[in-house]
Amino acid sequence: MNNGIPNSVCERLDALCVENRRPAYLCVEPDGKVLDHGGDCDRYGFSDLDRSQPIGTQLDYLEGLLPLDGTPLELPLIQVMPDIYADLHLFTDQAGDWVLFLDSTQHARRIHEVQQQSNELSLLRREQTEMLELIRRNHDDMLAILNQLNVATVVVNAEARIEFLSESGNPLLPKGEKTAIGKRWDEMLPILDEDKSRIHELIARPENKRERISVRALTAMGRHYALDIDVKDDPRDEGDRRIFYIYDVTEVCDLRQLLHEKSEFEDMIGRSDVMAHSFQLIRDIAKVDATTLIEGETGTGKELVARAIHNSGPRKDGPLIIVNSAGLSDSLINSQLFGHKKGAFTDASSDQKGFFEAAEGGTIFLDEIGDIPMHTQTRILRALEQKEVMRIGETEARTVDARIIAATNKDLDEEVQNGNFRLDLLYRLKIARIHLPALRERCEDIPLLVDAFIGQARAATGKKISDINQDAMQMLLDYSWPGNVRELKNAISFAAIHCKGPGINAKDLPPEITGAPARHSLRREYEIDTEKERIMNALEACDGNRGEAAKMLGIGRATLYRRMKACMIRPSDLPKGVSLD
Amino acid sequence: MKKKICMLGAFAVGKTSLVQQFVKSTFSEKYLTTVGVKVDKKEVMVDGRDVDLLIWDIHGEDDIQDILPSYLRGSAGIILVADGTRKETLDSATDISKRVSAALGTLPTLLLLNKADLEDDWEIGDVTIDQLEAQGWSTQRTSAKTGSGVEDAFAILARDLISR
Repeated sequence: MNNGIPNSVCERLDALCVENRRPAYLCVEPDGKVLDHGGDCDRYGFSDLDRSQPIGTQLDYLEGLLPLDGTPLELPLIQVMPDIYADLHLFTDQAGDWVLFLDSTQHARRIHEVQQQSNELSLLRREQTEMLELIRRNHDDMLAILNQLNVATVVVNAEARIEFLSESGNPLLPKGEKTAIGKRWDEMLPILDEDKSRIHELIARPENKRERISVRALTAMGRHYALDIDVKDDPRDEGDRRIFYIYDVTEVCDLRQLLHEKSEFEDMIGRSDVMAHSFQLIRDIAKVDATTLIEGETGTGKELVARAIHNSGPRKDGPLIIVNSAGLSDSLINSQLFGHKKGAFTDASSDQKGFFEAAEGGTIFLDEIGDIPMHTQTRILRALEQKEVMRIGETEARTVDARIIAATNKDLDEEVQNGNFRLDLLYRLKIARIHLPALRERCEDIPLLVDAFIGQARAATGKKISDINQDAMQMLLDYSWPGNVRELKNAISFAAIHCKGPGINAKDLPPEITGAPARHSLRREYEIDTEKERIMNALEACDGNRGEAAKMLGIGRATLYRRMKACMIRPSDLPKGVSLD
Repeated sequence: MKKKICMLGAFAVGKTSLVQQFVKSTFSEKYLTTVGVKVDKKEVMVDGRDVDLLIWDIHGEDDIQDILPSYLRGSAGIILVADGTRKETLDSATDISKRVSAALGTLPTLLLLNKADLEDDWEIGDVTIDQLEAQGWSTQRTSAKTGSGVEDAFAILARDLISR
């Protein structure tokens, strides 16, 4: 015994090398009853143990631990009282099983402090990881949505350098440019210079003073874009970062152009000198009210010019009456142009106003005037000179106020010499005269026209056609275009229907273009005897519908009539079962 | 009859909260890590028999504190706890179970999937739970916060203990 502490406990304490740990002990018999206890028992709450009761019934944490099997047992950091921790050392000697209590409350507090911080940090780190994953997923989702919306997003910093460009903006980048990050937006985006200045002005304004602007872009690949751009402040940044939202409205513009195609002068496309001259002439003629003669090969856009003159002139609020004179008999055209009185001829069941009268206050466009019979030419001359028409079967003339625009693909001077056209009428008609160049005379306009027609075909077919490859373009440039712009437009429509990818290839073009020899021989080919066969084939394919057949051949309906006449094609020439409409 | 059962699992899965809910019907949102071992006792009646459950709430396993085999001495059963919102705590529970079996042999064990009140955020899905049960695990969904499944969990294990 050492100060009342049993030797075995003293030896254990010595072995453990502990000091100031407020030891307490108890000794338990094999039946669980307490044999002895001592030390700082109060500290651990067992100063008044009942020696007649098993220890497990008095100290729950010892239940099941005793008796030992001879092997010592260490149980650190057992909470023995509400605020007291102890390290328990259990061992055996001759007297019984001993339980030595050493205070570890301070140690537990230190562990708790460290452990609490460590666990909270772990939980926080996990939460942050989850949050980052969520943000990354949202970021990916937003990017995917952005890329599907046809909205390119560009974030630019105060130095006008791009910090972010959504994937959908990549097609706008210069050819071969792998990344736009760090580069100036006004060097990367293929926007026209004047539009770039507008954007710079927008950036300088406060956000509430900025409006969405429309700009045009032309990429290095030759693709045209119509873009709407919103410039917003970056909400995360109070500095000078801006976000450009770039909306691709090319399709909308194409559709709009398609809708307005027949009414807008500007829809006539061309950058060549000859077209620039024609445009200026049209503007000049539109300002005056003079009778006008438009000359040009089939498909050059004579009707478009007539519409442009009407729509740009003082009579634009009046009617525009279009009369195609080809293929009509003398009596029918007279009746249509000048009207008739009831009973004037067998089918005249009522009084009928003619086209001249219908054009009152507006314009009458006489297409293919070179095909009008001499007798009718006389009546037209009277209408021109005296501003009067007389309905068939009437004796009283009626005053008409209509501007006359005529068009022909014939050489009227030659027709006059051949006795087919009145010289005085020609003089009256050509007060103002416009000659439209054939497409082969302005080949440099072909890429521009192709681009516009691809846009129209894209809008009409819904296909995502963006361009035409070099081989196909070369074929279009090499072709002679006897049907002029109309034939080119039909060829692009044909190719748009047949092409499988985003670009038109040579194989998508109509066979007469892909198999075409050089320009000079094609022109002749179009005029030789095989024309009759081509027209017959087209009529047969279209069940005798001359409008459809004309479209298939890339010529106008009037031209078809004229060529049928020239080739002496009669209804009886058509295969059995096919009749003309 | 007294039976010692040990609560084991990763840190912050809710072992102490489950014991507090079971013994004192209380719950605190504040997280306080357990150091060492706290021993609680509750008497339950199972099939007409009184059983004193001595519940050893052992600190969660983590980088600082290992679970000592000496704590397990005299255990009649084990309650493993996993947090349904943290899938990795299920891995910890199964790992601890293997080590307990290696040290003490097979003991009646119940796996509690805690935090059922946050089930919308659970990372442990029904398929995983079905697979665990197919492998022989007894599982119980619990919420120390609402008390849902807590009494049942201890009763299930107590019944298993006295039936042996």
